[in-house]
Amino acid sequence: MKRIALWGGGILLLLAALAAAVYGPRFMDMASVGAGYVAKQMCSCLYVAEREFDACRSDIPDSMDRIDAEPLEGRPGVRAHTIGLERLAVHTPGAGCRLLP
Amino acid sequence: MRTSLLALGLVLLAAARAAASEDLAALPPHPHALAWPTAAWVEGEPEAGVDRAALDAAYERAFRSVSVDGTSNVRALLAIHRGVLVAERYAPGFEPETRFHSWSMAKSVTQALVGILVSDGRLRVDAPAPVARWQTPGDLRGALTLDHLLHMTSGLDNADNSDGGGGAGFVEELIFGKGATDQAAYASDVELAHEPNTHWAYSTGTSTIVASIVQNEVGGSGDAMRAFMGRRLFRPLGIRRMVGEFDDAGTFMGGGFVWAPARDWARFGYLYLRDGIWDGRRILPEGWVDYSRTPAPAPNNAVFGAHFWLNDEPFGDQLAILPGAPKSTFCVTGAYGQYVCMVPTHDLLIVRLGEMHGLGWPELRAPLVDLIAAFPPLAAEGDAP
Repeated sequence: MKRIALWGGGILLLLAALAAAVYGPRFMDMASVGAGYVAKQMCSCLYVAEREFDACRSDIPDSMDRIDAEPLEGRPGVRAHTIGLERLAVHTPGAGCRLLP
Repeated sequence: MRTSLLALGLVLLAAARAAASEDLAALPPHPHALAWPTAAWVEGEPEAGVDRAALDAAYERAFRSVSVDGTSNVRALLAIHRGVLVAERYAPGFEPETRFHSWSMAKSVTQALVGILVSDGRLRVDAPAPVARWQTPGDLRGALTLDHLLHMTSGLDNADNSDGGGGAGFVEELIFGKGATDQAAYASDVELAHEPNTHWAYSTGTSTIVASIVQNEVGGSGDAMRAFMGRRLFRPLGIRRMVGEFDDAGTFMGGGFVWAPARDWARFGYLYLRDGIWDGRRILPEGWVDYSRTPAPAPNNAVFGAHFWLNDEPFGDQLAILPGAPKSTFCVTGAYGQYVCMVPTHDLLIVRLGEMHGLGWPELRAPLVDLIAAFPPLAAEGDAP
């Protein structure tokens, strides 16, 4: 019985590792795109449309609720972050907001 | 041999477009006694002949639509009839000075900038598009023209709905993901998936490439591009608060990132309703608006012109623009329901800006069709141009 449990656990771990290897990069890529969306749109909404933070946040689709955002300190822009990654968008008067590398 | 085939092709293309242009509704001139909306829109009550009750009902229907958080899906709705702003309403929290995001309406702003350079003789739509990375000998992309790009029939493998190479689609990677910091480079560094003019595919990346072509032509820098946009397009029309956004490489994000108040969007649409003429001055070259509203020559397209949307029966999975509205209607549109629509047969312009959280396209479009139906066609009043 114990041997079966060990084998089962090992197989599950292997499957999890395979899933992480296959889907992990895709998941991180989508998270980065989502954080980019939140940072860019929040930045433009705040500094180009000149609307309030909460109003801007309410325009972000519910599917991105797990991506947090806050205004940058010391310069006009927005930081959006989730699961260990972040994206920054900054504002330049007359040229709108841009995502940073 | 190849040259003569190309020449023959252009002649046939021109003939086909001339035939198509004959079907286009005439663009009505600006009323003589009315001030142009450069300084301000002339405001007034709808003329006799306009169904006021139907107009009011369309507005009520439009603003009844609310998203899950209780905010209105429609945030600005304007109607301009015969050059007069006859109806204008904003949702709470929005006002005439509020800038609204274009999403893909930016593409048509980019198209106008091309038109201006065509009128200057600095760009030609039938000449190879000046994209440096395509100029290597043997690169088939070197034969692509601005005409292919404006019609989205280039065959480039950068359609919005194509695979972005990660977990997201191409357009998401382009504007928010791997391509976001240098979008023109990302969008142009793709192969051909189809022969030009054999396949239509909606592509924000293509508009971004067009924007970069314009920017390179006017000096290359973001500052030069902003100056050009202001001097040649915004200021002549009295557009004061339109802002184009630029990526980290300094290139105008002309595929989807322009912000402007509703009245400025109306000015942009009005330029096209008036055939590219503003207060006696030709801003866009003669025939440019007809070019804009003539379908792109691809077998899978019926509703896309040169960076403008046409109100015809869509092909396959193409999106219908305003089914039920006059066929003469042509529009600038953007994601989440941004519409600037010109209806030449009614001398009418409508602007709808906002969101569409939890709203389907048919529900979104219905009040706009009702709104247009409240206005009589010019011919019915016996004074069609």
